[in-house]
Formats: sequence, C-alpha cells, structure tokens
Amino acid sequence: MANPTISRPEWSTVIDSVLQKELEQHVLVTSWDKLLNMVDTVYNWGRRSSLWPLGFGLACCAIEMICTASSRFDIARFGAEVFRGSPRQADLMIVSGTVTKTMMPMIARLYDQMPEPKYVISMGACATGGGPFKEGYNVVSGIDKYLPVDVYIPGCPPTPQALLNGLIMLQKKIDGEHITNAPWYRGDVERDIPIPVLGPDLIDLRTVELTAERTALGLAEVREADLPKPSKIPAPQPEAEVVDASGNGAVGAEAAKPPSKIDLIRAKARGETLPAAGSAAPAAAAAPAAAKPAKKGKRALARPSLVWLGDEGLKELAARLDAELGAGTVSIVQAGLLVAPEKLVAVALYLRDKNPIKYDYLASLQSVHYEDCIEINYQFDSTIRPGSLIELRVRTAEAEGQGEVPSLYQVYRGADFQEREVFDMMGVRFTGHPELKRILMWEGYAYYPLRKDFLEPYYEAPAKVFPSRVDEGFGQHFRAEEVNPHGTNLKVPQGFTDWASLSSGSDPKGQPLLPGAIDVQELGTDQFIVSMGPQHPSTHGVFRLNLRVDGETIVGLKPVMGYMHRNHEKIGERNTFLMNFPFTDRLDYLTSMGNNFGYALAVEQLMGEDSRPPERAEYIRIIMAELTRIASHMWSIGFLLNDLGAFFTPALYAIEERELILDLFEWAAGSRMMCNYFRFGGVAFDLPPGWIERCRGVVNDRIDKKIDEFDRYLSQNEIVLDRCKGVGVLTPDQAINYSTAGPVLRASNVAYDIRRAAPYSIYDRFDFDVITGPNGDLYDRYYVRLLEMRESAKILKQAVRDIPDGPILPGKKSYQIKVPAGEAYSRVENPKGELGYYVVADGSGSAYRYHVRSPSFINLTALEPMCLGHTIADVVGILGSLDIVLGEVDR
Amino acid sequence: MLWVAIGILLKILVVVSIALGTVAYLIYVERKVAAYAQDRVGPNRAGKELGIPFGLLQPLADGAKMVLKEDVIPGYVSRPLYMLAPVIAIVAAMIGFAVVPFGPVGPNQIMNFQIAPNINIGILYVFAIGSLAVYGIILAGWASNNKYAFLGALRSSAQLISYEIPLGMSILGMVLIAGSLDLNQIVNWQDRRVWGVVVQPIGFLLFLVSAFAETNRLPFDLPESEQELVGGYHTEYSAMKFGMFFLGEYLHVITVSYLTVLLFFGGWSLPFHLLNQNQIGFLSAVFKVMVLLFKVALMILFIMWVRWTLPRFRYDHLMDLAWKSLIPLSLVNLVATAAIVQLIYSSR
Amino acid sequence: MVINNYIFIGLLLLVAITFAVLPLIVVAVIAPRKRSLAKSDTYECGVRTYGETWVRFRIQYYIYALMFVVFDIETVFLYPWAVSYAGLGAFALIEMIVFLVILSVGLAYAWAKGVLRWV
Repeated sequence: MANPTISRPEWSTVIDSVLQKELEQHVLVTSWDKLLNMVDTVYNWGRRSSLWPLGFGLACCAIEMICTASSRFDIARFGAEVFRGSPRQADLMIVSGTVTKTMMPMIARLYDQMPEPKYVISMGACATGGGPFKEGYNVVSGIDKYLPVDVYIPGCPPTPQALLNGLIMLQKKIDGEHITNAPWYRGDVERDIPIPVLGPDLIDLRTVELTAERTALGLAEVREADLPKPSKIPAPQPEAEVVDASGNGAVGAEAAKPPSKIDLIRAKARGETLPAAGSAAPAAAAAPAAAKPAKKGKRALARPSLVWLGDEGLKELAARLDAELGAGTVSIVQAGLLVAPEKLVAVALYLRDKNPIKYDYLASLQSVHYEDCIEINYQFDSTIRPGSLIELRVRTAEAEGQGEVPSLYQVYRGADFQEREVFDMMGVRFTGHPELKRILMWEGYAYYPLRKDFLEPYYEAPAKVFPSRVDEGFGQHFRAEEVNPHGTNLKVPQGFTDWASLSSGSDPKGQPLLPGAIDVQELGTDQFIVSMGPQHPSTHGVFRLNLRVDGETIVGLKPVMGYMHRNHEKIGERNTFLMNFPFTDRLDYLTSMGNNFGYALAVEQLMGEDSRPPERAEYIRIIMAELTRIASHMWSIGFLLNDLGAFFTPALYAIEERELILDLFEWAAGSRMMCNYFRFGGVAFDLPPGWIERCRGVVNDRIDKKIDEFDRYLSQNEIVLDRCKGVGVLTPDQAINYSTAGPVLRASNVAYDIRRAAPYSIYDRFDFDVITGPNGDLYDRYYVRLLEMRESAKILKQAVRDIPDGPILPGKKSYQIKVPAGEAYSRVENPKGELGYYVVADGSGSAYRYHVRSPSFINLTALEPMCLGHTIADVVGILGSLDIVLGEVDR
Repeated sequence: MLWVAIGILLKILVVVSIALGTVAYLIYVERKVAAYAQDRVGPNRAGKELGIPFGLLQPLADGAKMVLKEDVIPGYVSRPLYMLAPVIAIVAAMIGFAVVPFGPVGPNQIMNFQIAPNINIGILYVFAIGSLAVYGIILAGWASNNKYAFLGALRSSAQLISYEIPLGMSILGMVLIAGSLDLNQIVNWQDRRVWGVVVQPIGFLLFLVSAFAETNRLPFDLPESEQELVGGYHTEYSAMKFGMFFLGEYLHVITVSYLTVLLFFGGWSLPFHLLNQNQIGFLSAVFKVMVLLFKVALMILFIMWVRWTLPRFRYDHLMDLAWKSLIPLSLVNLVATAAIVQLIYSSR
Repeated sequence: MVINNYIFIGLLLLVAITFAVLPLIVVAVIAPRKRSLAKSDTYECGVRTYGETWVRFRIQYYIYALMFVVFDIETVFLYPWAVSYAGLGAFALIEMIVFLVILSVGLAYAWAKGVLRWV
C-alpha cells in the first residue's frame, strides 16, 4: 500500500492519526489484501498451534527430544506433544541426531510420505552438518543435503529448552507464510525428494551423472595418492623375539608422530610445497633413522586387562593346551595365547568344556589390522571363576578379502554378531558362520572401513588435528567438503561402473527371511514379512527387526542394525587420546559418565601406575558412575513400561528423577548428557561447592522414595505381571553362551558383575550385593534393574559419606598425554552390561586400534532365540527389556 | 407432521453439532488429563493471542490444520473401501445416539430429550449399531494394504466380536430386573428402587470391562497399539480421514459413558429420591439433564484416567479374558440373577 | 408413532452421513495435493514393504468369529426372554438354564479342544 499521507484528500486530515490506525486495524474488510491477510492469520495459526511431530528419533538428540515432552519442559504447551508414529499424520519431522548414510533413504522416504504442508527441524550439530561425526564414512554431512530444513537448532545435543526455542522459531516462520504463495499449493514446485540409493556408497540420484563422471576420472584415487597415509605397525611377536620386534614396532609407531607432520599437511592444504613433503608418504620407511632407542623402554606392561589370569596361570594353560592338543598349538604373545587358525575351534572347545577353569564366556572379540597380518583377538572369562580373563589371538592374511578364520559361532553364540562385525569392518571371512553378512554397513558397500588402508571420503591426515580444522586467521581454514572431489562425503571406487543398476527401491540391508523355522499349526496359511523399524515407536532408536509372522506369532526374526553406525572406532583412531573422551559420551548417550569411566581405565591401564587417580577422584568417579546407573535404569524401566503400552506416564515419572541427576551432572561437568567429565588419572574438574550436599539430598531423600514408588505401582501390577512373567526366557546357559551382559545376564541367575568379577577403581571397598533374578524372563530383567538401583543407592550413600578432600588428578592438568605402546582391554559394569574398550597404542598421540565392546550390541545376539514363538507384542517388550541404546549398538 | 419433522431435524442438528463439538473438546480434555496424570501442564498456548486461557482453542487449531492438510491416498489401497471406512466409523458412532436419552423422556415431559423416543428395543439398537463400528476399523485396516494396519484390523475384528458377547450378556441382568429394553424404563426402575450398580455389581464390572474393549481404549487398545503396530488400522490415514477415526472413537466413549450411567448409575435420577421424577417443568428438566451430564462427564474422565495409567494387555490374554472369564461369568451372573428374581416373585 | 421413530433414525442417518462426507469434500477442495511415487508407497517404518499383505491369513482369528456367531444368537434369544421374564414363571428359568447349559457345554468343548488357546 502506498504511503497514505501523500494521496489522502484534504478533508481526511481531520481524522487524527490514532483514529486512522484504529480504523485500519479494526474495520474488517477493506481490501482483497486485507482479506487474504486474515485468511493467512487463521491458516497459519492452525498450523503453528498444531504441529504434530513424527515420532522418530535418531540419536542422542532424540533423548533430549523425549525429555522435552517430560514434565519439566512440556512441549505439550505448544500443542506439539502428539508424536505420531505414522508419517501420514505428522506435520513436523524433527531430525534429531546424526544422519547416517544407511538411514538416509529411510528418512527421505518418510519425508516423502508425510502429507503437505510439512516442516523439518534439524536438531543438533549432527543433523545440521554432521557434527562431531562429520568425518565418518557413514555420516551424511547434514540433513539439508537432502531435505529442505526450516529451522536449525545448534547444540550437541541441544537442550530441551533449545528444542522448544526451535519450535517457537518455526512457529514464527509459519506466521510469516502466505496461502497465496505457499509452495504446497503451487504446481511448479517440486516438494518431494528422490530417495537416495545405497550402492557402493550413498548415491544421490539427482547428481548421479556427475558422480559417475568424477568416479570414472578416479579423482578420489588421485587425491589420495598425495596424502600421508596412516602407517601400520607390525604385530607383536612371541616373547623370545620381543626384544627386537617391539623395538621396531615402537619405532615405526613413533615415526607416525613427528610434530612437523601436521605442518606439512597444513602446508599441503594451502597448496604450498615444503622440501620435506616428499618424505611424508614413505614415512614408515624413513622413520627408523629418526627413532630414538630410548623409546623401547616405554612399552606398557603386557597384560590383557587389569584383572586377569596372570602370567603364571597363562604359562600353565599354554603348557596344558600344548599337551592336550599337540605341541605348538599355542604360543604366548604379549600376555595372550597365539593360536594357529586351524586349532582355534579345538582350543575354544577345550577351554569351554575341559579346562579346570571353564572359559564359558566370550567377553569380547575384535580385530586389529597390523602390517603383516590381521589379528582377531578374543577375551574369554569364566563365570565360574570370574576375573580369570585370558586373551586368544588368531592371525590371518593381511591382504584385503584374503583373511579367513574358523568361526566360533558353534562354540560361543555370542561370537555371531561380533564376527559379522569383523567381517564387515575388516573383510575377514569366518568359515562356518551360518550367516556371514555385513552387519553395520550394507551389502554392496565398496570398502572395509576399519582397514588401515581405507581412507574416508573426508580423509585429510592420519591423525588429528586435521588441517581443515586449524584456524590460523580468517580464511585460512577450509571445509571438509572442499577436499573431496565429489564435494560431499562420497567415495566410489574407480572400477565401479554399474550405475544403471542403482534403484531407489533397493533395500540392501534388509534380508528377506526364509520361511519360519517353527511350524505352529497344521492348516496351511500364509505368513508374512513385516519390517519393524528403523522408524518405529518402540525400537528405541533406528533399530530394525525383520519379522516373519504367522498371525501374531513370530516365526522368524532378524535384527538389522547399522542405521546409527557413526564410525566411532575409525574416528577414535584419528583422535588423540584425550580428544576421544567426548566421543565416548555419545556411545550410550544415556550413560556418558560410565562410558568415560571405561575409556579412562583402558588408557590408564596402558599408562601404568603414574596415572593412578587420587582418592577423591576415585570417589567422584564412583559417585558419577552410580548416579548414571540409576538414571539409566530409571529410563529403561520407564520405557519398558511404555513398550508394554502404558502411554508414557511411567516413563515421564522416571524422567523426573533422572532430571535431578542430570542437574548434578550439569553442575559438575557443564553438560547434562554429554558430560565429558573424566580425564586420565582423575576427573576434569573438582566438584563445585555445595555439590556433595545436593547429591546427598538427592541420594538420601529422593531416589529411594522413587524406587519405592515404582516398586509399589509396577512390580505387582496385574497387567505387568501378565505381560512379563515367563516371557522371553533366557536360560543361564544360553545367557552365558550368547555373551549377554549386565542385567540381562544377571536376570538369568548368573551372578556376574564386573564390579565384583574384575573389580576396578575402588568398588572393592563398597558394600553392595550382586542382584540376580531366578527365571531370566522379562519380569526378572525389569526387577533386577529395580533392585540394582537400590544397590546403587547403597553405594552412593557410602560414597557421599566417605568422600575425602584432596586433589582430583595425580599430576598437573595436561592436554598432551604420553601413552606407551601396548594393548589394553578395560571392562566396566555399565548400566547396560559389560562395556569394554580395547585399545592398541603405538606410542603416538592417538590409538592405533580402538574398539568398543558394546553391551547393547552383543545383548542383541540373544534377541532372536528369546522372541521366536512369542507374539509381536512380546517382541516389543523383550526388546525393551534388553535396554539397547542405538548409539552403542551401531557405534 | 411437517413441523414435527422439522422440529426433529433441528433437534438432530443440535445434538450432532453438540456431540461433535464435545468430541473435539474431549480430545482436548484427554490431552489435559494426560498432562495432569504425567505432572505436566498440557496445551496452554492456543488462544493466547485472543486472551483465551488454558489453550482452550487447541481443538480449533487442530481442526483448522486437519482440514487444510493434504489427504494422502496411498497408491496400493483399495480405494472405495479406503474412502468408505472413516465414513462408516463416524456414521455408526453417530446414529448410535438415536435412542440414547440425554434427559428425562416421557409423554408428560415438556420435551423428549431423545432423538427417537419410544423405540422399545433401545439397548438392542445401541448394540446393533455399536457393532457396525467394527466395520469401519476392519475396512480401514484391510483396505490400507499395509501390514500394520492389516494386523490391527484382524485384532480388532476378533476383539470386538469377542467382547460383544459379554457386553450383551452383562446388561441382561438389568433388563431382566427392569423388565424392559427401553432405557427410560430402566432409568425409571432405578429411580423407583435402587441404582443398577447395587443390584448388578458383577454385571456392571462385566459391562465396564467390555465397554473399554468395545471402545478400543487402553488397556484394550490393541487395534491401534502404537508401540507395536505404529498406528494400527489407521496407519495409512492422514488429515481429515484420520481425524474422523478419532472423532468416532470419542463418540463411542460418549455413548458408552451414557449407557453406563443410564444402566447402572440411575441416569438422571439422584439417589434417595432427592429428585422427584414426576415433577414436570422446565427447570426440573434442565436440572435432570445436568445431573445426567455430570455423571457422564465423571465416567468419561474415569475412562481417560485409566488410559493414562495402565499398560496394555497382550492379544492372547485379551481373548482369554473374554472367552475364559467374562463369558462364563456373565452366564453365571445371568442365571443367578434370574434365580434370585424368581425367588422374589415366588415369595410375594 | 412407532414408524415415525424409525423415520427419525433415518433422518439422523442422513445428517450423520452429511457430517461425515462434508469434511471429506471440503478437504478434497481446499487441501493441497502433491503426488509422488514415494508418497503413494506403502508405509512400513521407512522401508519398502516386502511381499504381500493380503495373504491367506491365520485361521485362529476366524475361529473366534465362528464362536461369536453361536453366542451372539444365544444372546439375541435371551433378550426377549429377559424382557418378559416377569410373566413367564419359574419354568422359564429352568428352560433357560437348560439352554445355557447346552451352550456352556459347547464352550467347554471348544475350550477343551484348545480352540481358545492362542498359539
């Protein structure tokens, strides 16, 4: 509208300006524009006040999204608490967490299936741009590469308040929309996006021709040729030769770490050429000359874990194995038994069945890519005599796709997923494994990502700090996208030519299930296959179950995972040791303190006695770990009830108490969820004044009452009993054989708790019981968790009573730590079960190999036998009772 | 005659509009109840712009959004049935209202608070229509060609027909005692003697449990069961069609609450004859309607409260409950009632 | 007068249908429409559905339907009996007990046969 003062006739000047305004505001229809404005007002108001989000959580941010619905924040005030499971009824997609390549096609399809008008909130750093996981090979660098985003919320994770703010921002945006130019009413605007394809990598069909062109030119290979590669170290040798070999090993490792290298890379990134640049590529060859012999002494004490069988016992065991299975079966290498591959199954059988200490529990299994071999190593423990951990090593050919090792699937079913993971990540085949398929990545993915010679699409340097992240003045840094020839997180081998075969309907992760193994009725009816997840209200994240059902009965079930595979291990091998702490927070994002604990222990084991935490730090660690346990079990019980159909009420009551604990964490560490609080040899900060008093208050006054409340209302509820008793039974033998851990194992009446089995920190000083359940059913898993909270409260009461004053770190706070070369496996009893960190250090600033034994992942192995023959409703409950967290399952 | 018809039409329009408006607000109330059950506040923003408190305009916002939302019809559905299902759901829920008296009815009342008075098979009609609602669900689930919806539909078909039987049998006792199928007569009997819940406690419990199952409310919401089947039978429905299932469900809740109050809680009467049933007049009629409404509101709140408190049954337990507990129990209840009534007759 | 009442129900039916169809028409007119291949795909948690949905489904559900027919007819018989019970005398009670016992035997038989057991 033109300025009215100019065109207004003279007589109108008698109307004073206030009245004029009033008239314009309140006299209704004055022009077509005004009418449209009114329509807009109503139209926008309807949409803004009724934004129903799609019930869909990806990662850590999803937890905060759920908290936003809890009583403390209450997203319901904005009318947005109606989380719809089906995209057909949703208005708003909150992309809450890391978007992985495996998940991207699903997200795109869900987005397409939402009806117009639809909005997207990108919640958190990961969804916005890849966040801390951006460099990962399976991470999409921002959801906006595919979907149109309306509001970005910063934070990692954003707090619930931030999400609410994001929602308000979206409402404001909606307020500014006009029905006349709304894109969903316009015929010329394409709203839906083509679904990307999981081919050799995640292929965007909009740019497939360009991708094919660039791939054919081999631009990625050309780029990589110039980059410094990670150097490989030789595998540890039997003790007789260790004098030479370890020297070399340490030397080779040291070579990877001359401080000048970063400068070299930076220089290269800027396009300069330094005279030394040529030496970067053959670093390993050039290194021995520069090595200092003194480094040889800096090897960590050879021991597989802090509590183990011991050198004497190991020698006896080796001698016994040689005597039983023929001389030369095993040899002792760096406090582990090196077994010839062909003897592996025999050795495992002997250890499990005949050995005086029966090694019935396969604690962990992982692989290391050495210069001369790929080593698979196994940690065994005995539930009969806990704490006698031993390590077995098997070595196989190093070349890609050549490695082959006999599978232990038939001896330890717990090896099932772990062997598949090694196959997926290293390309080692396990002969005799009935279903050797990729587990985290998808069939058809072109690489084996944990091999040392695999360089991620955004690869810049063997170790951090990456040149792209070094900001030396304005304009000196660059984005990771700029280094990749495709301009995005994409890498396709030059040899790939089969572009025509890519179709958006393909589902390389799903495996059609064969007709069911159990026959339930004589009359012939058809069964059908249904996919539960990855976007499903009760799979606790982006987990997927392929079900074959006959009526309501499950006759076949295959868990499908990897939708949250954020390349934790690969990133961990580039991080410096200290830098990795915040990444461990994001494994099991409900228990960040516990994750910190395990990682700190692993590196402290390598560092030896100098890194022993002072008393106060030990107490703080225990307090934090036990608070975490209570918070995690609260969450778990609440959401188990939710899975049983109690609509969020128990869950939200559980969150109330968890919030109090998170407040304590925030006060001490500065962050609610991702605490990043532990340091090697202690903790990051001392407790603030008043903290202990508040903690005492929470522990003494609140937690017990809450547990009593849960016990009173839930434990004897008829429907809960009906749904839980006798469902999903796991016998003790099964539980051990499937390597389940934590409350799942203990509910099956196996008193195996790392805090007692292999005591760490100062747990041996506290009085608490290891809780077991009699039947191993769903109810026991619930009840064990409930009682464990009581035990945790007991420990906490002792800890807050006895905590001494004193330092919190053995030495000074430092950003550079020296970790001697060696190998360590640390185990902590996390709320979900045994959390293990396997670290191989080569003496440099970052880990050579870093593996996480994740309890959620391995507990899932037992899901299939627990569910078969039960109903769909039970599957949901059983999955809830396993208490998985996808960040940890897929890592 | 024409005037009568127009009068009735007006009455129908008023009743239907009020019912639909109430339903919209019931969804709001449900969200508020959920919020208070969970120690939250619930919707309180919508309407703030106009100075209306407590988010009272939330249902309007939801409605405005739903009407203007794209109505997706997936490609693989059976189109006619897919379109028909929500219509059936809502029509069945609405016409059940025809014989439900929402106030005193009788030749000497100033007005008949009932759309179709003098239908002497009152309850039978309600049940007949009520069982039509299952068609809406089955057709929705089947036509969607979606596995979750399909499972939801199958569950619902078996569940609803199973609970139809105890539902029908549970009120037989009341019918037998009052000697009529007409809801007015049953209310009048209760007013003369005593509330139905006193003479038929088991019948009341059977009715309550079956009514929960018939309305698909937790702990019997298996056709929807969000945690298992995402959305159950309405998984593939969007926008207004989805909203219509919602409306249908809440209309059912209203009908069932009315029935419970009329059959077992004395309808518009107060205990100890505090309210003279024979009094005729505008004020007394309004007061009776209010009494009935109040009781119905309490019943609806009870149904909501249960939803936000209990977990869900498993499917087989649900069927066991119907066939192994409720049906035998209702048979026993019927025989016992008949025998006692016979004893009373013969002792006179 | 009785017929009138059913006319009222007919009227209500008309109104109900109007109220049910009207929103659908309104939505069809004013709501946006954007079609795409993925949108018309079946929803199954974000993946494409595999295999048929309309299959020969499990018999268990239908057995309940058969049982239902028996018992529902029984209930229908019981209603007129209950209404006029006052005037029928003691013999009606005995008759009905016989009727119910026969039915209960049927239920017990089905129960013993395992029909009611959900497998």
